[in-house]
Amino acid sequence: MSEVGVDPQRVAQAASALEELRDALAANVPTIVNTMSSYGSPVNTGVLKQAQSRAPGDASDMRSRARLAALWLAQNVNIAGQGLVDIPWDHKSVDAADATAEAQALKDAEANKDPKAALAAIKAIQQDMQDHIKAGDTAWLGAFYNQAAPQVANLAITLHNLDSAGNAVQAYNNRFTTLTQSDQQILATFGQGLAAADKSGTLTPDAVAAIANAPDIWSASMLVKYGPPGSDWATSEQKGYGNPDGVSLLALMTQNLYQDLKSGNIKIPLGPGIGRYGMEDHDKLGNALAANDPFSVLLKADGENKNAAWQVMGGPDGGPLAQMLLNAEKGDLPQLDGRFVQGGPNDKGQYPNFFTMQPPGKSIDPNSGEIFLSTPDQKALGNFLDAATSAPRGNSADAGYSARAAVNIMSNLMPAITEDKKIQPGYDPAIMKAVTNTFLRYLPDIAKSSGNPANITAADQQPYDPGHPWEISLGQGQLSTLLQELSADPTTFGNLKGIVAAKMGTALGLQLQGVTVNHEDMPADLASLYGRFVTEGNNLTWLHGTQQDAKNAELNSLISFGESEVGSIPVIGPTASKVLTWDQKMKAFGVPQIPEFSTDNAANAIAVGRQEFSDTQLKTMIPLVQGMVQQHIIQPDPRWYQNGQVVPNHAFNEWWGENKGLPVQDKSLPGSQYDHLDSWYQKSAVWEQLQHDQYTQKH
Amino acid sequence: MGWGALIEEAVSAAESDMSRVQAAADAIDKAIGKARPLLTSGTWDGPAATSWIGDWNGFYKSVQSLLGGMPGAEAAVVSKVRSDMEAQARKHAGQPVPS
Repeated sequence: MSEVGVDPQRVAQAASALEELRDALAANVPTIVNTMSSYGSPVNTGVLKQAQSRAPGDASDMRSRARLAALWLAQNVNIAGQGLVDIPWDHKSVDAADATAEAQALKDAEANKDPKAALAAIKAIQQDMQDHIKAGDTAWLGAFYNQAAPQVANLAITLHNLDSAGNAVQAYNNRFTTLTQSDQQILATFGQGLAAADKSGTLTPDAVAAIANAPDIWSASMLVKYGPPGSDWATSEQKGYGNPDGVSLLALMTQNLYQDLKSGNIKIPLGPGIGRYGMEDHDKLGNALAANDPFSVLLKADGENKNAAWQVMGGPDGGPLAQMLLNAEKGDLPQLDGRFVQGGPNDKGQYPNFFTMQPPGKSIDPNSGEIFLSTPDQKALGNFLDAATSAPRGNSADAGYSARAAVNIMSNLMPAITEDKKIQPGYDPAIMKAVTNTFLRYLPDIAKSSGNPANITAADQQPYDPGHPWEISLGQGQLSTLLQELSADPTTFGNLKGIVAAKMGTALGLQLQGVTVNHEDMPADLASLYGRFVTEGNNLTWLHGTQQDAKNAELNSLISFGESEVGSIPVIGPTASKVLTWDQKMKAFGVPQIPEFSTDNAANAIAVGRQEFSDTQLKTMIPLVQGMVQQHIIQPDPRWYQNGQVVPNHAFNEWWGENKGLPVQDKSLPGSQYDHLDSWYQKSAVWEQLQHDQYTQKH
Repeated sequence: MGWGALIEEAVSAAESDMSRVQAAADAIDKAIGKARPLLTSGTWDGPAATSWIGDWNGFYKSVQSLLGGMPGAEAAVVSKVRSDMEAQARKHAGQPVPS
């Protein structure tokens, strides 16, 4: 490595001059090139374009040398006498040395007793970092964060303390301020740089641990709050001590946040130097604390990241976290993530200007100052829970996290709210969406839990069958709570009933073709689950919505859930080998998330259908015929089968009347066993626990 | 408007454009001139730096050479505009001037 003795001040001037030249070329070369060209001038402007192209690199390199020289002069590194500092010259060596020097500069700034000098030093590092972020220089970013991670984690509280020490106006009007606008911009830059280094895979396990295990997790979480969205952060890390599975930095931070909450180790600072709050401040104070709740910050980012969400909810603290976020701790109020508690007054009667976050279920010191309940942002929580169970199903580690997350969520649901014998969901719509999507993603497992009652709720992977996917089973108590919660909204109740019925039609169609799921009876399991919805429905009176809403939603989902959603399952070979692979099973019975139904088309179809059939007939016929069409047992007629959907119109009514005696073979049974279509219709009605509704043609 | 006025208008527009080109060239030349005195042995000491400045100086000499030749190129542009317009006027003598 060739070193050069430089005069830091003159190199800085040279860097400024080269930056001016870069800007002059950018502003003026296009004018010269375009104008001369428009007149057909033969002058060769190629060298000007070359200059415009090389100038940014020259300026950037010289600025890096100037920054490094200044830092080394301040840090007494490689002083060469006569005011010169020996620095490397080539780009790569300068970058590496600069990252190290900036890390040292941050350490020095955090230890600096002069608040103005400390803040100026931090801003100078921020400016250098912005250049490297803009250039996508992840080598520099990685080198910096690997050396400065503890100081970066501590940056938010350092900035807050610098404000308190005199950099911000200690005015009464700032009493709700945690971080000034300038602080937030600094944290945004450091958060953006950290995310870029994280996502590029350049962070060492030690650096990850230093951020995730920060002594002040509130401070570390502010890098996430003001940094980029969770999707810009890594989804996994290098495996290392304290992170044997290599889970993401965001997930580790959330896990450590929960541990710190339990030990009462989270502090939210407010108001630089001001800790006095009156009664009139109550609402603003509560809002300021809520905006700094690290749980809301990290749950939002985890949900955006997705992997972090399932690593947290399927990780070691997933169960207790689900209990805290969805249920109640030790008889405390439900869904609290803690209380913000101001400490008691000192011997001069002054209250501290920070609030400690105490875990729910823990008694509070009666000498405390102000106390605020804390509930995480419910929309962020809903997105987080939804993401937690969204990993593609299968036998991967991610699938295992999501399966355990699904179990943790379903095991900790509270029963729906019942008021004056009327029922309503106990959760925010965002959380209900997450629960509904989780139900659909694990529909085959839940149906199996209904048809073959399990005693325990668990996520399992067959230990002797590595190819076997992660599956879950629900105990009967948890299944009841889940179904009751899902049924507490009439539209959700109807939609889910319709989807289960449609899947039952698919299962029956497969069974008639002799296709089975290994050791499972999917039609019976789905029928059992449908029956449990019916039982719930018989007991329900909704606080918001009506039986008619539920009926409409069910028919809507039944009609809409046509071939385009389900797809046919190609099974090739003799009957004996017609066993669905697991992937085929999921394709047939799993639903990734709540489908978006075209309500107008379905509403029209329902209106037409009700002129021809009773609701009970529609609920039975549509899934039955849809399942048989999917398996090519019935050749559909385009007059009543359009866009992969059964349209229960007059033509369908006529077709049914003419074909109800159609013999349909059940190839799952030995020999040739046939039954008429009408007989399968009657059996389906029994499975769905619908009253025998003998078909009679209305017209 | 007659042919004479039209020629003067076109030449005037070209002169204005060339004036902007020269201003742009001057701005670049000035920025190079400001940087050059700082890129000397007074700023640093070492063969890597000496080699780099040799390359930089050589390159920007060619840039300044081009910039130094711009007034001649600009004059040629204006002259060509004038001669082209006069040729058009001769070719279409007696015909209405295009609007």
